[in-house]
Amino acid sequence: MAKGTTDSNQTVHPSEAPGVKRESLILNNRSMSWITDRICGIVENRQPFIWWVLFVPAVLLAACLGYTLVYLVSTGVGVWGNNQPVAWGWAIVNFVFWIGIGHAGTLISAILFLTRQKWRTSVNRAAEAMTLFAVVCAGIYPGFHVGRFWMVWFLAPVPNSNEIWQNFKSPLLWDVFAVSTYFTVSVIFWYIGLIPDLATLRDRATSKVRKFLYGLFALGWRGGNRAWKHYEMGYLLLAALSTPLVLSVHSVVSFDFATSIVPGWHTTIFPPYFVAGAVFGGFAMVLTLMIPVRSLYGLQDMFTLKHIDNMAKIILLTGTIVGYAYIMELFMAYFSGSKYEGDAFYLRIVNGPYTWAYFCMFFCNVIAPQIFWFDKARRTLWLVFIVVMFVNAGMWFERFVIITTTLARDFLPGQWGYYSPTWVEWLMFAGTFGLFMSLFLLFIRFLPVIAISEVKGVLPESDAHYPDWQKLKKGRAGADA
Amino acid sequence: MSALKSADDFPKDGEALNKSKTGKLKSLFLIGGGACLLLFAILAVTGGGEDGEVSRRSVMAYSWLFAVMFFLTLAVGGIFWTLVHNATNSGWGILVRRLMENLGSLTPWILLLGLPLVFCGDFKNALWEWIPEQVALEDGADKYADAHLDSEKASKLKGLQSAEAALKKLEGETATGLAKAGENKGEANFLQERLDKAKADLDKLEKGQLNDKELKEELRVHYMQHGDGKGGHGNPLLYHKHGYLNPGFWLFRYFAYVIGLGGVIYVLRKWSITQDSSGDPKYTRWLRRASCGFIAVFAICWTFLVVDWLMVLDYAWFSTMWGVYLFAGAAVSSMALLVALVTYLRSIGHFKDTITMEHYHLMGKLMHSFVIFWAYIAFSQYFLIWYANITEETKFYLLRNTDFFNSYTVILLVIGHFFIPFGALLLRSVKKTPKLMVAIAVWLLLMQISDIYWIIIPERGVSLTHGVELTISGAIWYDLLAFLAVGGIFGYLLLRSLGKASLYPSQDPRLEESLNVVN
Repeated sequence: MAKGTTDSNQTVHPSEAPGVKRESLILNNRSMSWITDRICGIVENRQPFIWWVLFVPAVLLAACLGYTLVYLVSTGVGVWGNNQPVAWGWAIVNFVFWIGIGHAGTLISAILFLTRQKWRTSVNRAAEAMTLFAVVCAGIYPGFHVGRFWMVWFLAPVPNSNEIWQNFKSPLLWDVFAVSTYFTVSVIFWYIGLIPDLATLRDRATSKVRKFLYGLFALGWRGGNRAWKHYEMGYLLLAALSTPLVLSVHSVVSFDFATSIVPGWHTTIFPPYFVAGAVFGGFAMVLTLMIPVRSLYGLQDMFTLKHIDNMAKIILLTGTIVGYAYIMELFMAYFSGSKYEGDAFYLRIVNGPYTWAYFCMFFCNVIAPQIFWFDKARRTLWLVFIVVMFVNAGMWFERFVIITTTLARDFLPGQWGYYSPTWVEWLMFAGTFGLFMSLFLLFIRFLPVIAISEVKGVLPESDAHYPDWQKLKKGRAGADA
Repeated sequence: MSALKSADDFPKDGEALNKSKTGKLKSLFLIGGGACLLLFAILAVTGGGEDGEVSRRSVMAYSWLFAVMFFLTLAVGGIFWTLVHNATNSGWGILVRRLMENLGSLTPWILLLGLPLVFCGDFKNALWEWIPEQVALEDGADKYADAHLDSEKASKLKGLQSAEAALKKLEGETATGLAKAGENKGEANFLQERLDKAKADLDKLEKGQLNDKELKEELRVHYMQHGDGKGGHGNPLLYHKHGYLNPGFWLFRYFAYVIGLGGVIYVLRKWSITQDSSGDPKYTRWLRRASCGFIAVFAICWTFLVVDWLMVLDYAWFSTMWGVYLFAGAAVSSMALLVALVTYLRSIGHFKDTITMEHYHLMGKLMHSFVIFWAYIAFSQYFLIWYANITEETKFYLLRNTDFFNSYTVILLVIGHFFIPFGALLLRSVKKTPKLMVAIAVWLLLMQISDIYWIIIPERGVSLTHGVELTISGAIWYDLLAFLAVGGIFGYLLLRSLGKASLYPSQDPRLEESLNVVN
């Protein structure tokens, strides 16, 4: 093969040329034991002061959530700002927002696993944990919007409960099934992935309580060859089972809107558009959490700039797909010639009470991520952090635009209204962030934040062909000299 | 485990197509395709037909669109896979990438085969009713405007005298109305807008801006929206769409697609082939960077191409998912064609030590995932339209769920395009067995033919007979003839492009990754 002629170093083989060479996923030649020590150290050592600085306010915010929920249940759903015609307010906006965030975890752990994207190993554990916590936050809204929370089991199809049979034609009911299935499978997948690492923590434990608890959850894992063989197959099958769930959950959420005949909601592109949006928002949230975590706990060698670069690329791609959907919606609103569709979008973007929200959404979701076309931008941490903050906000605005602005302008001008959230809704939303952060911080405190056993698999020496590759490279070096 | 393969063990100039073995097939494609093309042309030219009856030429227009569109999806799928392979920085498929590029490079040629659709009046009028209807609408509007110009002028002038009094009255009404409306902003808006419009009209009248041109335009618009109330029908829908659906812009877009899609694949293939001789890694970087941006060009061109050629077969119908749906089918079927092509080339002695069962496995997985993706998109589109049950949207499926087409849809698209390949491709052993893979690939190609047929042909009966007949008997022979004509040319062009460069990028820096891929 010819040498890389345009590169300054003439002896470089083309496959090692800049921009072509595969970047290592673990930097500084870290050894297997270093990886174990570093990750287990987070759980075993005292938490840094900043952990407490974050944890205490988060718990206080979560307590506010508890307070608002008690207030909501004891007083009635009227404490929310929902009205006629805006019957769906922040409750649904925030539900969809959190469910969307809960998408990245399973995408990373299942789809990237099936597509053999090895960089996922440094991210998947935290992303899956984040997914579960996001789904918990999401579940609060539909659960409590029924008002009488103790009646929520009516959602389950228990035959003849009070002579009520669930409406199987309603996408809202499918949502109950879709979200609960997703949550269940995600928990199992996450837990199965944790088992070998829990065994590691058990083996390193110095106190009896720790040894007992980690041992209990490690299910007697010994790391034998046969156990690994079954484990790997089980993990693969779970990944395959989880993959359709990544698509189904947000598709069903989109059906909540798209099966209706409300202009602005009924459009056939909704399912893939919602899925792309969810992946987009989910990756943004993963980066929001992991950029600080990696610096705080010194994980830069395992969660490298390459990882951030890849995730920024996915954010750029999905953001642009979302932009494609926005444009197609606008085009079809014009092209269909449907008066109602046309007016819905006219009121959404030209002359409506929430026009500002549409442009916030468009800027945050479509324009802001375009900076990721530049290599430098994807590897400049503060810039990535700012962009993902925009994306977090933008995805919230997207749901707000779809739900609220559409409902605020009904078919007849006589049914036009305006919606603004009450203090209860503000506090509840802030409270879910408190709950989310509390759970995530507890996760960092008690469980390995990176999948120890998996990340070792991407070390060069884990490759069965490692010695052969070395030989191949050596032979080449000889020829070059 | 066997030792790794080194790229140095393979010839630097790659592998040239064995022309002695493909020559016969190539001539067969050219002669067969050419003969069918000639026959098709003769039948089309002589198939004028009289007024009031369904002419052969108009029947054949649908056949041609069907054939061109099917092969276009294969070629465009080639562009898609090239783009994805480059943009995702992939290593596994370097060995098959040249085949993707060659397949994609047929796109501009197939688009040029669509020229008769764009330029032959009878063809395009038969396919796309909006074109003749718009011409008729414009004519009617011109006549109406000419006939009514004088009387309109007179009545406007007369109106001026009473307008001032009327405005005063309206102002009074608005004031009381606004007070009543109170918080109801919609009502208030409405009243205010009505008043503003009346004021503007009066202004215009007073300033004597009653020029003929403006008045005529006003009359034309009136006709196009409402008709003349006597027999000349307006068409508000077509009038609404004429900003996008007008012959000039439509033609411009056709050329934009040829240049956009053709340009993308030309550049990518050219860089890739240049790298064969120099091995310069800069091309790998260029290919990756350009492909990322080209994905946007590709998405825009393809979306609007299928809107312009397929969605507007019934211009009242619309679906935001349409572009994605056609894209999904293109991706599956072109991967299927690649599998078949690889197997054919292996059977005549190519890719002996290079392409392994691992590559089949990977291509099988991609085929599988896009079978699922296609089903997901097809189901979502169907389901949302069925559930909302809006007449303008359901008409597409009503037509295709009636009589013969109902069982066609269920058997070929639901079972054939999804359940059968989905089940078969689940098994790893199937994906690693070339014979079975080819069987599935051919099956998927048949399903893609069915899908494109299903999109285009049901429109033929209702359009040409104005809803009297669903199908036109005997027309299937023209469909077959068109298919053979375009297929022959497609096959010839594909083999020709294969012969122009090495069968795989022989000096790609990542060739070793592809040679040693395991999954």
